[in-house]
Amino acid sequence: MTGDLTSPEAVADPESYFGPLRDKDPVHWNEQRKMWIVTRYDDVVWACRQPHLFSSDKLGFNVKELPEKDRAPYEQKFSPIYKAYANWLSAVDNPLHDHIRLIVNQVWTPAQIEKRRASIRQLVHGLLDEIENKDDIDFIKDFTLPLPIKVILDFLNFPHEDWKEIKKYSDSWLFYHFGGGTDEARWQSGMDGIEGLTRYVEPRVKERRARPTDDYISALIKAEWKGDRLTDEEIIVHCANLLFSGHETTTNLLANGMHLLLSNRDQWDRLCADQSLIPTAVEEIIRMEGAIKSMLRYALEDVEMKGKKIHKGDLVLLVNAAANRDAAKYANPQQMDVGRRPNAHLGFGQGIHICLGAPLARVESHETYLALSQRFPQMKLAAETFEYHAILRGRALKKLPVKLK
Amino acid sequence: MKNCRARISIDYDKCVGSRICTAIAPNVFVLNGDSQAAVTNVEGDALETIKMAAEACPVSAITIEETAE
Repeated sequence: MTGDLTSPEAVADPESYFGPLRDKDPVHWNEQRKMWIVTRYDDVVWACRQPHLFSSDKLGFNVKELPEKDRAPYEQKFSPIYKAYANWLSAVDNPLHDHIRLIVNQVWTPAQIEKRRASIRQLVHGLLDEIENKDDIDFIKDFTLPLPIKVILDFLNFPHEDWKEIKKYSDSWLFYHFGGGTDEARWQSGMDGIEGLTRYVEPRVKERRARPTDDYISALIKAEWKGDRLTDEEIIVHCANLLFSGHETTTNLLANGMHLLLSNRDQWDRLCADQSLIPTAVEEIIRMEGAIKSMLRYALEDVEMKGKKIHKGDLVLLVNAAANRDAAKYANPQQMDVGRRPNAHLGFGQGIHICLGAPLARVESHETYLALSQRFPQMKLAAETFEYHAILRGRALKKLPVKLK
Repeated sequence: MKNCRARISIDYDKCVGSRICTAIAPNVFVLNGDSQAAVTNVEGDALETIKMAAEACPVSAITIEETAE
C-alpha cells in the first residue's frame, strides 16, 4: 500500500487512507515518509501508554528529519525553536515532562476549568449575537476562531484586542509544528512564530513575577510540586504553548463538530430535541473528527508490534483518528451516534501526554453546541464541498459556510 | 494520618493512564498490566493526598466514597 499521507484524497477523507491499512497492515512501513503507521485501537493505546519505549522528544525529531550536514547549522540558526522545544510539554520526555505537568496540572483539573463555564457561555452568546443576522457566515472566521482565542486570552489574563497579533504568530508556528520536512521556509516560519509568541509573553511573565495578581501566570509562578517550581523560561514557553495549542485545536474541533453534526442531520435534530445528549455528542465528535489525527513518536528500543520489528530510532505515527474507527472497539464505527456510550476514544491521546487542555476544550464544545441547538436548530451547511488543510497531523477545515436560520 | 476510611473506584472507560495519581499518591495507586491506574493499598497515603490525586485526574476517573468509622 502506498500513497502520501497528505495526498488530496487522504486529506479530504483520512479514513480512505487509514481504513485499508487498519484492516490489512495495521503496523505499516511508509517508505515515502520513512515512518511506521499504526492504526488499530489496541496498538495505539498500548504505545501511548509506554513512554519509556516511544519518545515524544521533538528535539530528537529535529535531529532525525535533518540530514547530518544541516544539523549543527540549523541548531544555531533556528535556536529559538530548539529552546522552545526544550520545555514544550507535549514535546519532552520524562523526567522533564512530569516536572512541568505536575505543576501546571494543578490549574487545569476538570474542577478548576468548570469554574470558567459561565464566562465561556457569555462569550459564546456574545459571538452568536454578532452574527445572528448575517447572511453569509463562515463559521470558522466568525465563531470557531474567535471563541477559543478569547477564552485562552481570558485564561492568561491578556487583552482580547491582541488576538490578531497572536493569531499571526500562531499560524506561522502551526506550519512548522504540525508540518514535516527540512525546507528552510518551514523552519523560518516556525522561527517567526515562536519568536513572536515568546516576545509577546516574556514581559507579561516578568510583570507578574514583580507584581503577582490572582491570575494564571501568577498562580504558575507560585505553584510547586514537592518543593519544585517552574523557572521564568519554562513559564514563558508554557504560555506561548497555551496561546498556540489553546486555540488552534479547539477552533478545528468546534468546526469539525459542527460540520459533522450538520452532515448527519438526524443526529443534529436528535440533539436539538434532547440537549441532555450534549456530553455524549461532544465525545462522539472528538472520536470521529477530533482536531488531531495522529501523534508522532520514535522508538527508544527495538519493539515488536503485530509481528513487525520496529527498530530503535524509527519514527512511529500513532493514528488516533484510525484507532477511533476500529470495528474491533466500536459497533458501527463509521456511524455517528450522539448518544454513544461508552466511548473511550483516543481523540485527546492517552498516557502521560493526554491533552492538558482537554477539560477546557470539552467545556467550550458543550457550551457551543448547547447555545447553537437552543438558538439555531434550523442551522444548515451552505456549501456543497468542504476543503481541509493539507497537514500531516491535524484535521482542519479551511472554511465552513453555514446559514443560521 | 494513614488511616483512610474510603472506598476508591476507578472508571476504566475513562482512565487514560496519565500516571498523575501514581505520582501524587504512589502508595495507593499503581499501574496495572494495561498501564491504567489500580489501587494497591487504600491506606497507603493520607486521605487528603488521595483526594488530591482524584481531583488532579485529568479525566475524573477516580471516585472516592468516604465510609463511616
